Amino acid sequence: MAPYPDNDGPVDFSDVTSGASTSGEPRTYVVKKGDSLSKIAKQFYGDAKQWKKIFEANRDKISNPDLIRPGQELAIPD
Amino acid sequence: MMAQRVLFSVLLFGLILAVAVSGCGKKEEPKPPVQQPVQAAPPPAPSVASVTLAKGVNIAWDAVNPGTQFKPSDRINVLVKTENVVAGNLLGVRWQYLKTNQLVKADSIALKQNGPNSSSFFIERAKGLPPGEYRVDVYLNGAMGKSAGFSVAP
Repeated sequence: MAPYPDNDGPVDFSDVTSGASTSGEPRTYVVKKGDSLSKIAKQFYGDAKQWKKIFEANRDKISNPDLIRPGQELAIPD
Repeated sequence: MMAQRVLFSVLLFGLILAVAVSGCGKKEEPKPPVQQPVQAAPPPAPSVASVTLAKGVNIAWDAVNPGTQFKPSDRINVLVKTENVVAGNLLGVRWQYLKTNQLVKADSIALKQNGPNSSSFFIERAKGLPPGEYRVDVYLNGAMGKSAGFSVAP
């Protein structure tokens, strides 16, 4: 099926990814294409330099802070 | 002697009569009202307080770049604030593509704390979401709470 309908036919949304989080549980973030730890830090903390905080909290998943993959779920510390 | 007896009887009768009459006219003291037990007000019902669409949500549960217009490659977040909930209450969303009236995705999460909660849901598509109008419906414990519309355009 075409990704964008050129008529009013149905769209195949089976490849849509989604997620949910709520207060009172540890925060996580699913990496998307084009993300970097700095960008993620900028979103969560308003400060790109806080990327180290995210890196340290995810040492078990990230060996190189410049290499994160779309779909990876990272812990976001307070 | 006889006259004294008669007089005494009359006086006694009169006294008894006076006592009886005064007793009839006597009003009963009003009884104190019976106090009804105070009924406790029922707790306020859980509710969806607000729904905000945004490109991100920060660590303090604030919307980052809120808005209702997105690009096909964007991750679209909906930040939901709820009130008066009980831990375990179920918060759900249904993302709808209005052009074809299709369900894009449905998700739900059990809330973790009593009182106010902040939650967020997102959708995205590696190939890009098709352009058009969308709506996200938010449900709390199966009952419709609030909705928000947004659009996707290149």
